[in-house]
Amino acid sequence: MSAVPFRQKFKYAFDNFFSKGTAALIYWLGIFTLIVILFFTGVLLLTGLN
Amino acid sequence: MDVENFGFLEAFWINLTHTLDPGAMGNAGYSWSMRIYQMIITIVGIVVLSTLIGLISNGILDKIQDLRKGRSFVIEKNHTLILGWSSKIFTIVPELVIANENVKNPVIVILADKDKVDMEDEIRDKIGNTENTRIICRTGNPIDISDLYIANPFNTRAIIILDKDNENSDSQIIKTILAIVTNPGRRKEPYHITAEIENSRNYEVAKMVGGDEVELILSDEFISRIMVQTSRQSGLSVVYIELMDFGGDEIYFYEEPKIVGKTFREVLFMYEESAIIGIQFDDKSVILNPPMDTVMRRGDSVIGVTEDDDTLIVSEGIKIEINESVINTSAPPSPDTERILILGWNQRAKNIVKELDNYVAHGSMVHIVTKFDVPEDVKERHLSDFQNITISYERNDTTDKLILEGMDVPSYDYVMLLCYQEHYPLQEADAQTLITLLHLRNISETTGKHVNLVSEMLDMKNRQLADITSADDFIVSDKLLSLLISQVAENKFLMRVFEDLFDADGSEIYIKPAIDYVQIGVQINFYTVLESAALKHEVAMGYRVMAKAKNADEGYGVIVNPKKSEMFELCEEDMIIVLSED
Repeated sequence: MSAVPFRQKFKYAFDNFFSKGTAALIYWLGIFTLIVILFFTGVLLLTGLN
Repeated sequence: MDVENFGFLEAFWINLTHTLDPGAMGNAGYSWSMRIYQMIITIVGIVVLSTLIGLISNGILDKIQDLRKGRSFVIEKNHTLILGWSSKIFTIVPELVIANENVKNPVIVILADKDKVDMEDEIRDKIGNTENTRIICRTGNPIDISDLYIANPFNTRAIIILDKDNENSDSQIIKTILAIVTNPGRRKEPYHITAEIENSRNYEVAKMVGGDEVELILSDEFISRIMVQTSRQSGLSVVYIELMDFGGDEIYFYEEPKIVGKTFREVLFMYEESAIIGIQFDDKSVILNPPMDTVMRRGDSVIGVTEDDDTLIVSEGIKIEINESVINTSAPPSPDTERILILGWNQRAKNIVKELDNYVAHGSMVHIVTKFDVPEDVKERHLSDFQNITISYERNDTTDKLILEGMDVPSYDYVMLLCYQEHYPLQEADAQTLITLLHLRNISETTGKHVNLVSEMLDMKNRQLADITSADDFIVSDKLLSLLISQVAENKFLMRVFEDLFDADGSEIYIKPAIDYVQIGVQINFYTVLESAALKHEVAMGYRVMAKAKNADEGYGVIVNPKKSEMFELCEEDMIIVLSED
């Protein structure tokens, strides 16, 4: 199993993620959005742009 | 906002926000000329922006669709690979899920010529919870080597090749076997392939291609044999389903060092919670109900009916009590001649009549009623030269109630309903069988006379429509076939056991009157029944309580593999389930 390159493993994990259905996709999209917002909140606070 | 003092940048920024954001109209300036001007800009902006959003969302959708198609290589080990898609999947996958319950991280991979998302949706819809088993679908053609590669046949535990629904795809199946076994990148260890072949003419080719790596299930022959055996013995259908599905008891093999040197007769009594039915010898050949004095050698495995793969164990410290005084040794009476009615016709009918000829007593009669003429060449080539059967034909409408009433159906020992597979499209053929079946049930109800019925449905969905709860009214369909496929996929050697069971040579399962074995109305344990059967060179594997024959919740009274030391009482009409030569 270790002979399989990382790229292929990643693609396989990605495919499995996608086959979980729309509900799972929306769920993970929500989590992704939350992470992005938190990241930019941090950026804003650190740079003091306001 | 100060309208008069625009620089270029300021004007550009205002126009930009109005173009990109229709909501910005509200905070426009106050002069009417400015408002109208901004309105025009906004309208232009809406057109531009909606086009832009449309393009982006379309692009994202396309990308997601593309990603969901999933063409990545399946990185799994010891998975079960199912090639092809048919309604059998909905029986096979749940069976495999049950079989996988005690396996760590089990995976089923399905590769078929069907949209991946559709397959996933259908499985989620119709199967639902798959416990600990993960199901992975890939779209591809099973005869294409590069598509096959994606599904990773190299690390599989078992491969199942399915027939397409309702069309003869033997040649496709043979090509698929070929694509797996002759692949230059194939693994060194043998594969375990289970495939279904419809026509016996293609059997030889498939076997030649696949060799020992492939177990072939001949569906036409299998269905014919099941029809003959289940119609002749009430309750046998329940026994078969019990043995073939993964709920309840199944057949397992185990190499037990403790029994080396013992005879088969001794081994029978060493298992309290398993019914031993045969031996698998060192060379992997299988014998059911072997001669009682067969000695177990090193390397031989016992074949037993038991709850799970870890329950086939020699029981210790159980006192075996055999009450010899209640054993009946009367020889069974010689079998009566039988009258059999076959309604309907298809190409399997000739197999069925041939198979019947192996079982029934000399002088038995088969009456065939069909809407269409039986071709003369079939009559000459296949339906003459019987040893025990005389055959008669009648051309009549089998869906007409008046005609059916005129036939005095209850006077026949049993009735088989075949579908007009070659004459009607599939759904229509099933509908015809269904109509006849409903008429016959009605006749049986109104006359109060019992009719033993076995019917055949091509589509499993129609089977559910017609299903009622009685063990004497059995519908043969792809379900049993699917169960057999899943069993063989789990254990290659089971195929030989089932071949032996369904074949008229060798031993089969019989359901015989209990009175031939033990006295009725007294408390006995199953060891006593086992002893009585062993004296007749038979293996007892269960019994049937006829008082519960109509009770679906209690398995129609059928009890396979009872705890042997438990006491029970049998009535006059109760039956013993044995494995016997005849």
